Amino acid sequence: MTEMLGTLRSKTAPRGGAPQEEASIAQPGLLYDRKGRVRVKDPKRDRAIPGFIAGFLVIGIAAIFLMELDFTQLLEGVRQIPEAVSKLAKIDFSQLDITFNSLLESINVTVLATVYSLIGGMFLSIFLAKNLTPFKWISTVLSAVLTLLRAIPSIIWVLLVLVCVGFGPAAGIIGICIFSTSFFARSFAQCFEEVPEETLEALRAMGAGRVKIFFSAVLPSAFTGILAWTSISFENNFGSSAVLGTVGAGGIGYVVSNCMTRYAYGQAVVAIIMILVFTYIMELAFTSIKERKGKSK
Amino acid sequence: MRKIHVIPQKQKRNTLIALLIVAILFTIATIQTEYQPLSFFMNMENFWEFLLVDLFPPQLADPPTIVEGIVQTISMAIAASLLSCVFSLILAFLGSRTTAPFQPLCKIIRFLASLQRNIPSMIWTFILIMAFGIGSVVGALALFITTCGFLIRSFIETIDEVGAESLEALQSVGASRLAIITQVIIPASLPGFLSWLLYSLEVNIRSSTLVGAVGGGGIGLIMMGYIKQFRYHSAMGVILLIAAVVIIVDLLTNYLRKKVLA
Repeated sequence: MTEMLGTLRSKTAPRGGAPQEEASIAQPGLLYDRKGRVRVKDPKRDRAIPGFIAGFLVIGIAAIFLMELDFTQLLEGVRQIPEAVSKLAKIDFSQLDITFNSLLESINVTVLATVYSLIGGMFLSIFLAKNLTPFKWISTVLSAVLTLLRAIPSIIWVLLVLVCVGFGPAAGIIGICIFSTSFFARSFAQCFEEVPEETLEALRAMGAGRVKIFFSAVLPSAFTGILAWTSISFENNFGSSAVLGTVGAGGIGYVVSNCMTRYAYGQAVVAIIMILVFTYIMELAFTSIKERKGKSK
Repeated sequence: MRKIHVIPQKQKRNTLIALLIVAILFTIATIQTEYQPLSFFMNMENFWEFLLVDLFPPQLADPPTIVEGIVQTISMAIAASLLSCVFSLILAFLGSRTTAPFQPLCKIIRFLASLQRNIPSMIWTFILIMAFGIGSVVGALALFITTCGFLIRSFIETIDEVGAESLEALQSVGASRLAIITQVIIPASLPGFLSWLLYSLEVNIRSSTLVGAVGGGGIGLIMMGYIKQFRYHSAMGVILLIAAVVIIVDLLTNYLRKKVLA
């Protein structure tokens, strides 16, 4: 032990000669600077992060210039803000019932899309999770397909489906479903893969079948993760379903874009406030569920 | 024979209640929207025809314009991430209970952040068009506003997590507020900040296209134009290009997360 401390001292202790006490409390695993003090920072580990920040700064500043931001437009717009705010401030409740109905439609679309994609995602994730899939190649192929589906935003899916099935809630539901199913499949598969291999092996050794293993071991242990992903996905889906009206489908987004093009800003504000209130309530609800879940553990 | 329950009874009951609520909501929604899930699969030939005749093969009609649009959209996303990161960092330190100089400011900043975050970026685009007119300015600002709202909350959470552990220890040895922030909170929460920044970049790359489609400029506006002109082959080309960009950025951020932040 003393020998080890000695070598450590010769490596880390200062050349000028530090007090003997400091060398005697030197411990392996700690870093020391030239004066023999314990270092708070690890230069090896810390080198990556400043490098990353510098790189991001350079790219970011380049992006600001590449964006071809029209500064005259920006300044002109800033001058117009008071006028725009005064237009928005004339709140107009005359279309309250239509607005409320379209909010309900958006919520309905969200619920249906989330439920269908939850079922679909659960089914696909069994084939996607590497520890559950019956054949490895299914997992690989499925992963590639789902990555492609997920890379296209749900609003674009809605736009494409809109062309096939025509105007109505169906386009929104199917479009959001395509994206959301893929999202669920990926995240559930991740949850399932976190289930320890030992558990699965133990159950297999006792002769439990695939179905039994899934329902009595994998699903319960991944339950918290599933709940969290469902809440995230529900919020995301409502976000998409609220805005899909702005590209031509129904729901509350249509009210907003319609009012804006008719210059009925007061009515648009009512719709926006409704969206705001609903998303805020949703956020509070999910936060409280999460906190209660955390406490009970 | 008595059984030992594999799953706790309480959890079983809660799950049952949750399932029941979902089932009720599902039924109400199905009745109200009159949505028949099978109708889509019944009309599959319509869909296949659209997919195989109208969409494929994808083509890139006007490569210079499309490349310009893609570059503009990507830059919009990166610039919005960078600028909002800087702003949110300042506001997060003013808004976190562990570091805030005055407590009332916390509430105001949190309220502001939730306002920014809870209005979708496409709606922000509509609001901003009123003052700024159509163009990349609106797109960048809409992304900036929503990203700020999201990053402020995440940064505050990160600071609180780090602060809760180390604050008491440092206060008891007499460290000043500034020393606590610069010596402990910033270094300790830096990986968390960067990981949120990467996440916001992923989100922005996706939404910059959408924001563009409703008037924010860039590739989104080009794609929307193709769809409105029924030029689906060209639209599909652009969509696949967007998908490629999203996948590449996701791979890059995942790589950076593993290499830099591990």
